[in-house]
Amino acid sequence: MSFGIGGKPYINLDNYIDLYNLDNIHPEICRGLAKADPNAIKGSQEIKPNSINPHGQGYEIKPLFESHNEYQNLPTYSDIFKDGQDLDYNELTYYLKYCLGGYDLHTVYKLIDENTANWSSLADYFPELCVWIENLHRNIFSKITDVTVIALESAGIPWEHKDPNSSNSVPEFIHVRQSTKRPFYILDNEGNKTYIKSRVSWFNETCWHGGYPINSPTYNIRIDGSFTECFKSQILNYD
Amino acid sequence: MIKGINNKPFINLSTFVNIQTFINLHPKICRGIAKGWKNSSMGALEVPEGFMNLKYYDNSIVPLFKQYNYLQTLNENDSIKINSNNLNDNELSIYLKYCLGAHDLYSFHTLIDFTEGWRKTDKIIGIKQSAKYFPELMQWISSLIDQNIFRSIGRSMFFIQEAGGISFEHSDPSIDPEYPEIPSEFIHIRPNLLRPFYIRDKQTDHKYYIDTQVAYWNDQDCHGGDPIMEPSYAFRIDGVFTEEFRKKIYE
Repeated sequence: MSFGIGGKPYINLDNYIDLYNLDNIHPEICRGLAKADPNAIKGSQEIKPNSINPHGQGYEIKPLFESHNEYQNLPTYSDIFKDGQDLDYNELTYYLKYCLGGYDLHTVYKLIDENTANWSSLADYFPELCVWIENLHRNIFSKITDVTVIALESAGIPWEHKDPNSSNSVPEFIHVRQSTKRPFYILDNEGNKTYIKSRVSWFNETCWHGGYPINSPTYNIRIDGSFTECFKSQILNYD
Repeated sequence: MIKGINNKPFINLSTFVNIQTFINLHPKICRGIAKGWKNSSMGALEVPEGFMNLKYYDNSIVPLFKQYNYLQTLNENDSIKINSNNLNDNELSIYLKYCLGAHDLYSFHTLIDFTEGWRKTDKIIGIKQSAKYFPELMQWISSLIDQNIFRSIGRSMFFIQEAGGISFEHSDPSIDPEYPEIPSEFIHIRPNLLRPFYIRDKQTDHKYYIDTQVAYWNDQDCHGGDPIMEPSYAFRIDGVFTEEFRKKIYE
């Protein structure tokens, strides 16, 4: 897969997306993050091979998924193994963090139910955000297949990672950031960083991308689907 | 100038308190932290005036309690205020973090809390809901009375810090609501020394790093920790030391 989209490292979508109304519902989104937190997904325990470069930003950390791997390789008679049994996903995340030093400050809120392709129960906590997204459906997307809110705690390192893609086309999505305070970049094939300066972007997710931590929590929203032909033509032909 | 204890910035208790059982309980403690995470207290919303020493921190770091104070100043019609209504304390912590960019990566499990009459009994009273996640640890806490370390125990709690979290420097207010004039007696345990923890002399700025897993210090002295990129926890047990124990540690 080649770097970038349409000859650019990323497509700046700030002028196409209604950020004014999104900013107006920022408090409601944060209320949703708070209310839905117990049912969101804490950290990534398993990853696809070679999809995360945990030391890409130069921090010495033991990622949660490495702790999970370490845990699974423990002898079943060890206390650490035994005390980690019969925990649900989020409980196991906490266990791996404190018992084995696993690092992961992400919380993921999946707003589309993957079985029904409709709004998930978590989406109930974000009613105005859902309306905002449905408005995108009219103008930007012909079909929306996934909506994820990714929250990152203060001081959290946004994993440098690349997303797997089995098809030959670049997946279509918009990536919306609450603000541009937290540096976010994409790497070309030579490892050169291009910082994404816009709040809303589309980029080739099969290229390595990541960020740097800041001392304040942040969230971003990713909406996947199929762009309308009209929208695609606008953003790819705009100079 | 620090107040210290017996002319020392802190007392290393490693020869007086055997924490091997505590250390051996590490996996069970982590299981308790995991099972009880929804019932822990996430972050400190209300902090008494003058309690924190924030002058050493970058202005870009805004502690949670400051944003909580800011929230109180907002007009009732402000959308930030409206959306904060009817949230419980943990929900409010998360809300303030994301809405106003507040930093606080602590969570707390209080197993035992000060209850009227605790000083006058060698029975542990004031046991809280969180204790159910740490049954073996509760037994060990009781054994500290049998070992003549404490005459009575008033509080025990975990300070759980996420990776990257800042332990803001602070002095503790009087913590026993019944007898605020009595200085705190406690043992503070860390399962390892990975996260640097210190007492600060505010006059000279000197930091006295606590280089032991089990310590006692004057909690009216400014103390804090340096962040590390790994989650960590500490455990503090407050009580009344026995005369025998006092004699040993003051020698």
